[in-house]
Amino acid sequence: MLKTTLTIAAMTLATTVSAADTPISGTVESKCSIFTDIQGVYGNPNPYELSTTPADGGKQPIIRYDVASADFYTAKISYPTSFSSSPSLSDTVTWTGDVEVSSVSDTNMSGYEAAKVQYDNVTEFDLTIAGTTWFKITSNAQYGYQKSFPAGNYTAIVTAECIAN
Amino acid sequence: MEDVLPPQAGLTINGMLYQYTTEKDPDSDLTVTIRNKHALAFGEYIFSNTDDWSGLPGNTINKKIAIPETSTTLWGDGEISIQGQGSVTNPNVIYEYRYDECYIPLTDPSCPGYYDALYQWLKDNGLLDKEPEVGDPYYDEWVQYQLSLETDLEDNDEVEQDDDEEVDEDIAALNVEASIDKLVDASQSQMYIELSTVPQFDKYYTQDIPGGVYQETVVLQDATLPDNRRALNNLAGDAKHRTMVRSQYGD
Repeated sequence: MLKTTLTIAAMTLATTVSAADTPISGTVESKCSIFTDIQGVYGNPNPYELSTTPADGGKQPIIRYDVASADFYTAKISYPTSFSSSPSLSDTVTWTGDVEVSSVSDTNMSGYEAAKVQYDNVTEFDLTIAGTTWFKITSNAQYGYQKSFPAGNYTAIVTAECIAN
Repeated sequence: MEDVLPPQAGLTINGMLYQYTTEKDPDSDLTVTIRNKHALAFGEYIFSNTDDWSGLPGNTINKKIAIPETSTTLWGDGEISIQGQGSVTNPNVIYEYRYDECYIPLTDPSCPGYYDALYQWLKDNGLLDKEPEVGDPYYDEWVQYQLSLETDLEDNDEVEQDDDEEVDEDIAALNVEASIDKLVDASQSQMYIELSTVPQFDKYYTQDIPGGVYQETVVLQDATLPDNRRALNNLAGDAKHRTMVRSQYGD
């Protein structure tokens, strides 16, 4: 009898069960932000050469990385290997460049420079310290074999990424 | 800090941004301290921040530090202290400060504590329990001036009335005692008679003035007047000069 009763009670409960979908929302804010602090300018020290080096009349671009959480991100910065806009070029352009730590907000970030990884035109920095790091990019383009660049405006793009580890 | 921060009262420092570059051997030890002396406590520092570059390569550091708001009056001279092997170049320190407009609450009635400060100020200056002095307007400078003007007008009226009375008295005397013989003596009476006599102008109208004819006595003889050669020379010179001047504007 008890068993039956329990069974009935269970059946009663089963008939009164209701369902609800409760949403849980959240926002993930970026813990790594990238800003262009200084835009670069190409100097034209020789007819066949464009350079961002200040000694060549150029200006090196500065990119700032703000990292709120340490050891979660890698900075991946590529110096340009082509012009995004330029006059028509009939010869090859030889590209060289470099990315280096310009300044830091924490002394321990000064180790980034020695620990950077370079391949092709890419330089990677493991952002192990929370704070701000400024990176300075150098770009150099030489046209043909000392062939004069056609007159006009030249633009090249530096690519900066913050990749989660 | 007097030559670094503005001199206004009510400034509070709430942050600092500094930048410098270290040049050192990565294996050497180096600490760099940015600090400010405490203006009121000798030997103490109101702000100090140390960067440890030991075992690290040199680089440029760019750091921003938030500071609890502190009055600038407490901030003494700043310095960069270096300990270890290495050097610091291109230092740059920027203080972030805020101006508290209500640092002196009496500045603006909207400032918190304005009424308390006003009460205290009145109390300190003995103005709170003192009965206000209410001056009698009768003794006001301008009132007295206006009153003095009215008094002068009354005085003038009295003087004019006195003058009128004297004239009236003289006329009455003349009317009552009106007799020319009693007013003047004999010689004056004679003079009065002569003056009042009707003049006889007829004899002036009938007088004849003897006239005549005045004959010409001067005769001008004909003669030849020579030309003034000097004047002609001058005229010729003027004409030549005018021609020369005009020639400058010719074609």
